[in-house]
Amino acid sequence: MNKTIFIIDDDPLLRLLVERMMTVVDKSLTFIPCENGKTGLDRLNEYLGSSTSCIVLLDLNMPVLDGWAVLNEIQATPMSSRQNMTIYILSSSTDISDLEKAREYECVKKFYHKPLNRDDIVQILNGG
Amino acid sequence: MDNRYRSILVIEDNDGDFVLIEDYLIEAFKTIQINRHHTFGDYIKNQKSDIKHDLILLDLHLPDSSGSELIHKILESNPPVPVIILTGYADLSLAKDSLKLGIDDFLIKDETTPGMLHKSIEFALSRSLYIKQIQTQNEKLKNIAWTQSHVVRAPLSRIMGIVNFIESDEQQPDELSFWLKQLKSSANEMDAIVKKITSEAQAIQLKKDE
Repeated sequence: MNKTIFIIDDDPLLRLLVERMMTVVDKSLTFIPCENGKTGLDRLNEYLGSSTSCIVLLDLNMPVLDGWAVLNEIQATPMSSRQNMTIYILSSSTDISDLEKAREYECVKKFYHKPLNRDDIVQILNGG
Repeated sequence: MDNRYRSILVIEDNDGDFVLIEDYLIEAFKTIQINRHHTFGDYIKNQKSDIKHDLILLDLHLPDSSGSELIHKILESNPPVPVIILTGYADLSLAKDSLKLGIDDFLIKDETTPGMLHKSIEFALSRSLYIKQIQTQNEKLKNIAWTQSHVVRAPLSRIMGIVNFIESDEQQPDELSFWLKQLKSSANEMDAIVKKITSEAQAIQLKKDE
């Protein structure tokens, strides 16, 4: 499948955990862990030319640049029209206002609450 | 006679009415500062430069605005203090309706006595104090709810995620002790957050006297 997975989250343990659980399902995945939104955007921009499909797991509360700012930036650039990029929010927030706000972003495929279980992971890797 | 210091702003164009209200106020409060504006425009113009009043007494018929329009205008100006309306019998139903909009009380001019004025002012002030305290408290509770949803759930979801992973039985043999250590540290982190919330929640208490 050769998918690339961007894990944009400031929690190193979460990044490791998602990577380990996803690898169990699909050994061919490439991971690009990013410790905040800024790094995430930089890595995504570097990746723009690539033709392989990618999945973005985006945390909301992060230092430097939070998930909302990343989404705003993505919506404002041609990145949002990329067919082979799928964005998921992966947040520990259960705040209803975060869920409602996420709906306003067309580029967000789905909102996942942490933690991801195996079914979630399979669903995400199969395209939501 | 009330010994507390009060500062009242009277918005009243009629000199006779103003003098009467002034007399009543002086009779009811031992130490009182009374300021006066003649029109709604004067009040708006001086809103920033005026000293901070405790309460506004508003005549419902001013040269530049009156009745329902005046009520809406003063509420839109977002007065930081209670507003009591002074009116005649003709506007009784309007005055009653204004209570629903946010006016604190109304007094019929011809019926008002120093005692009534005093009671109306003190009730309005103590009500507004309580409302402010409840608003502050609500703000704090909202913050706690936010913390629950965001800060508490961070280590909690990590703990749940680690358990999911351990349960999946896919980890390397030497990995387990690493994940157990992470479980413990996330549990400690969560404990610290919960303790902090408890102490914040305990700090929320209605102050009875101010």
